[in-house]
Formats: sequence, C-alpha cells, structure tokens
Amino acid sequence: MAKKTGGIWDFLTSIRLSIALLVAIALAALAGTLIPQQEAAHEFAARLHPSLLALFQGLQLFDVYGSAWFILLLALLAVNLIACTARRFPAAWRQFRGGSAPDDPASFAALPPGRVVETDRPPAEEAGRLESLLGKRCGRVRRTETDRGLFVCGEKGRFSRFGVTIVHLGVLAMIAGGLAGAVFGVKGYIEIAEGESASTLQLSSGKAQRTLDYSIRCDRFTVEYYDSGAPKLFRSDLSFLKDGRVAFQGPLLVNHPITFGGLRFYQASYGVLPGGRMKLAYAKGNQKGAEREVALGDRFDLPGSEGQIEVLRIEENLMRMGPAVKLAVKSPRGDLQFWVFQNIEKIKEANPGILAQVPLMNPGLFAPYLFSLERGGERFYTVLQAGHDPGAPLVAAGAVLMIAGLMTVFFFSHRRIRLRIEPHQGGSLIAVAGTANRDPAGLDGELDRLAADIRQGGKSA
Amino acid sequence: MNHAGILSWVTFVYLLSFVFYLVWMVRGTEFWGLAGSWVARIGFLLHSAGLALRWKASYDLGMGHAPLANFYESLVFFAWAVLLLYLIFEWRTRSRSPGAFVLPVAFLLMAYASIAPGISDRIQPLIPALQSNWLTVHVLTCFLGYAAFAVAFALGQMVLVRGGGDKEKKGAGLFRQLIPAPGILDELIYQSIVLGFVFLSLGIMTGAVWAHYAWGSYWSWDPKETWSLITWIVYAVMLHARAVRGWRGRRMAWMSLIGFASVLFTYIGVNYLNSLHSYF
Repeated sequence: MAKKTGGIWDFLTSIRLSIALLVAIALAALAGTLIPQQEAAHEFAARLHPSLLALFQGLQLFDVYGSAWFILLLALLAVNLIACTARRFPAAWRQFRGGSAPDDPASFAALPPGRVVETDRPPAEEAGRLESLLGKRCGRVRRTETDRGLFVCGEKGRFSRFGVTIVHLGVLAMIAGGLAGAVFGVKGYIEIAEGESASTLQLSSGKAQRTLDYSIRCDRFTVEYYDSGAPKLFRSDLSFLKDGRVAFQGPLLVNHPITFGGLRFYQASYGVLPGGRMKLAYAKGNQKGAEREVALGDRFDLPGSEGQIEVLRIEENLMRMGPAVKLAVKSPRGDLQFWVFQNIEKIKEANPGILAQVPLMNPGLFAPYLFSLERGGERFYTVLQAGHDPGAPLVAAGAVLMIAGLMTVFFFSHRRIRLRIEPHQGGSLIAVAGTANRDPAGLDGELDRLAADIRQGGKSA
Repeated sequence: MNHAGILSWVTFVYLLSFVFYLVWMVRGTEFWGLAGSWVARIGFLLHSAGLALRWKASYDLGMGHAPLANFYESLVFFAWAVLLLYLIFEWRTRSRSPGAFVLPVAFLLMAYASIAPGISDRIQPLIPALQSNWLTVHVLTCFLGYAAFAVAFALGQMVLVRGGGDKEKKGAGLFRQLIPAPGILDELIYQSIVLGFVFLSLGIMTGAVWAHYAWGSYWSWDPKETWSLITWIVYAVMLHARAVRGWRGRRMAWMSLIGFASVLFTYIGVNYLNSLHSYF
C-alpha cells in the first residue's frame, strides 16, 4: 500500500481515532442521561443561571442525541469504520485467497515431540490415508510434492478472515438506518375520545400536523387492573374508516401494534374525559327496559325482532341542549330517525309542545318504545402513537450482520494444517504443523488430536 | 420447602462455598478446595430447583411467566447465570481458585435480592408493557451477558491481586501462588468478555425488537438503553485495544473492572434516573 499519503489517511484509519470516537460517544451518551432532555429539560433549565443556560443551549445539551455535534461524532465514526475496513480488507482478502507455500520450512521448525509420528507404511500409501483423515477436518485438502518432500495440506474457517469486516459493515448499516429513520421517519400521536374519530396526526417534532386520508374511530377503551392495583390491560377497540366505510376493525393492545395505511399504531396512553359514557335506555310501555352503552356505529336489535337500532351520531352538546344521540330505527313498520336527548325533561319544560312540533326530537317516536339517555361509567380517550421508520429494516439487517460477524470473529478461526511425509526406516515420518489467525490453544488441541489419529491408524496390523 | 425458602438458603450456601474456597486459598489444604467446589455445585442445583419451582408456582397462580419479570427475579437469575458460567469454567480449566472471587459476587447478588430497598420477592402478574414473548429472551440474553462480565470482573481482581509476571514469585503467599499465571487469567478474561459481549449485543437487539413492538421505536435513548450502549462501548474499546494494540494483563484487568462498574450502573444505577425500564 502506498505510504506517501500518510497524514490524513493514517489518522482516519487509526485505531486511536476509533477508540477516541467511541469514548466521546459514550461520554456524550452519559451526559444525555444525566442532563434532562427535551420536554423534561424545562424545569431544570428554569433553575439554571442565564449564562449557564445560554451555554447549555448553545451546546445543544438539552437535546444531546439530536445535536449537530453528536451526529457529527457518529458520522466521523462511520468514516473511520469505512476507512479502516477499506485499509484492512485487501490483507484479509489475500489471507482468504491463499497463503504461504505448503512446504514452508518455518512452519515445521521446532515441533513439539508429539507432533512427529512414526508409521509403518511407506509415504505413497500414507499420503492417501492422510488426505482422507484431514478431509474429515478440513473442507479443502491438497497433496503437493516438492523437492522438500511430500505434503498434505488442509485449511478451514477461511471465511473468518472477513468476520471483522462483517461486524463493521453491520455497525455502518445500523448508523445509516438510524440516520435514515431520523430524516425520513414519521412519528406522532393521535388522541381519540371513545365514540369519536380523528384523522390528524400530531407530529412529535415541532408543532406540525399531518392529515391522514382515513380516520380512526375509538369504539371503546378498556383498562383492567389486577387485585394488587397494577394495570392488567390497556385496550382500544379501533375502526379504521376510509371513505366512510370501515376498512379495518380490531383491538389495539400494548405490544400488539396495528399497521394501517403505511403507519404503525401503538397503544401509548389514555385518560378520562369529563361527563362519563353515554348510556341509552329503552323501555316498551310499562315493561322493564334495557340499558346499553353506545358507541358511534353501534347496531342492535330490539327484543322480538321488532326493529334494529343504529347509532348515527353522538353529540356532547347538540344545539346547546346537552348530550344527544341520533338513532335510526329499521322495522317492519317502516324506518325512522330521531334524537334522544339526555336533558329531554328540561327541554320539554322550556319549550312546551316541542315534541309535537319537532318529531325528530321525540324519544318516543318509535312507539311504544321510549328511549332515554343517561351518563354513567368513565368515558375514556385513548392516545395512539403512530409512526413509520423507513430505516428500521436497514438497522435490523445491520444488527443481524453484526451478530453473524461477532460469531465469526470470536468462535471461528482460519486454520491451516500442514502434514509433511518423509520416508523413514521402511515406513514414514509424519510431521503435523499448523497455523491459525486466532485461538492458538484451540489449534494446539486440534493438532494433538490429529496426530493421535494418525498414530492410531499408522501401525500395520 | 417453597421456592422463596430454597432461594434464601442458596444465599448462605454460596457464602459457605466462598468461605471454603478462601480457606483453601489461605491454607492450601486440598480438602477445602474440594469442599468449596462441591458446596458451590449443590448451591447451584438448589438454585436451579428454586427457579424451577418459582416458575411452576407462577403457573399455579394462573400467571404463567418465566421467573424473569421483576427486579428480584432478575437478581436471582443473574446470580444463577454467574454460577453456571463459573462452574463451566471450573470444569473446563480444572482451576478452582477463581471460586474465591466469583462466589462472593453470587452471594452478594443473592443477598441484595433479599435486602434491597423496596424489592418484592412476590410473584407478580405481568403489566401490559411486559406481556410479550420478547420479555424472556431479552432478560435471558442480557443477564447471561452481565454474568459473563461479572466472571471477568472476578478474574480481573485476581490479576490485580496476584501481580507480578508469569514466573512464580519467590516468597509470594500461598494465596497468590494458587492464582493461575497471568497468561491463563488473561485468556479467561478475554473469553468471558467475548461471551458477555455477544450476549450483551443480543440483549440490546432483542430489546430493540421488543421496543419496536411495544413503544413504537427500536431505540429511544431511554437511560437504560443509553447505559447499555455505554457498557457495550466500554467492552468494544477493550476488545479493540486487545486485538489491535495488544493490551494484556493488568490493563485488561482494569478494563474488566471499569466494564463491570458500567454494567452495575446500567443494571441498578439507572433506576435513580427516570427510565422506562423501571420494572427492573
């Protein structure tokens, strides 16, 4: 490799730079866990001296992980990784492609006694046996005859030369995926009251909003508790409405997001609304009636198939007359629509004769049924988190690469095993030698076992 | 006896094993070394039985989750994993002197599980955020990693206590002579760190996958996440310094101490910061 460029190239590919960058990133990350970040920072910031506050803001210490200098550190690490990989790859490639000659005398120098085996068969015969013996341990086995003697060589784990490269590519992919997610990703929140629908995403970055081309209705929110008081279940029953029709309906639970229209929705939070749930009660004449909580779009049958009710609208405060629901009745006697007000008695008092004038406001229009509206039970709103992260698949791929690379680096080694066969008193003298790029103890063990195998089969019966 | 009873006994079995190992290191009588090993193995079997019974008990209570779901259970599993790794090391290396350094770690973890402020050893049902198949695999990988780092921490102390070079020092106490040569210790530290690093990486990844499904973001710079990254970086620096700059011996020993301090902060220290991981 050309050495003349020295300076900047050496700096970029140096392990010192890698370590310095890693330490700097670790320290920055540490600072981010000690200094309150983003929304949490307001209270802390208020207690700071103005000049200190200006310094903190100037250094973007209230948003360490999104700050320009933190991104710069990550970018430098990426450059360093690319440079290191580019610099070391050719050597790894050469090691992968080939190595020293099979009869390299250096590898046979100073062998321990157990690694030289005397056998009874002549070299030509032994060569075949050793080839099959070595073949069981190594994928590629070669026999070579040089003026230094007869050699059988095998190697395995060549791919482990690329382990480090694979790990670094994985880390690069994760950094790239993270940046892609930060730049092109969408994240926001939607708050929906039970029985209502929403189609606007409140983006978490800034105050921007994003209007969806569909709307989400929260049909019901359920929270359950264990006896200990710890929460057991948070569940939103959602309907995704496109062009006024339900395109998807299902429960949203923590740990079980719903994907719709390119966004993924998560159960993030909930709260209680003032007023409580709407309960529709109905009775036929003087008989005992029934009561049910209603949500928009609900349909139910009256007893004895006398008719089917559909909840068309739910209003918290219709024409300043308080809560009301609009019902549609389908029955063999014909179809009707009317409103049921919670405060119907007060309305009647204030406007005598109104039910006759405006049948649409008569809760007894579908005689002999009389409907009424009550409030009861807690009415919730649910908070959904919604997002799309185009970088996530890249990050996942990087993570898999990194783990595969780590396994390769740590648990495999590139071993070359060389056997030299020399004629010796009518039989052979076999020398067992080997090299490995890591784990010398593992190599020693393997060579010892191989020598033992050779010795075992080397005695003529 | 129920699981809670067994697990509190295990604490004292580990203390006993530690004392036996220590007596062996000081007196050199083989008997005490053997006693230390056997008591550690018995403790480990009891510990495993305690975990299994606790697991079964959670099914009997109708909750049915692995005993990896709160701080108490994580401490107990941490100690179990430390013993598992140590016993494998002892068996493979035929060297039992690390016992005198590893067993106190396991004992302290178990003791902390019974006396930590606000800790509950009751089997609790899972809150919605923990109702995921990723819980078990995430906690398992993280704590196997932590355990490997704990073993490296103990080995690092041995390097520092022993001091000196590869040659046996004349006049050095029996205690120090029984500690393996620095070359062997260094290799063992390296192997522990490698194991821990792979498991920590897997732990962070399984956590990221889980967070992707539970919180809608695979990484949100939550203090525990961030500290796991810091710990990961400490060990990554250590591995690079060893591979490229040839760090060995005392430097690696100090790094294994620094690394474990970071592990402890990731595990316990961040609970004093505002974290989404408050259940551990």
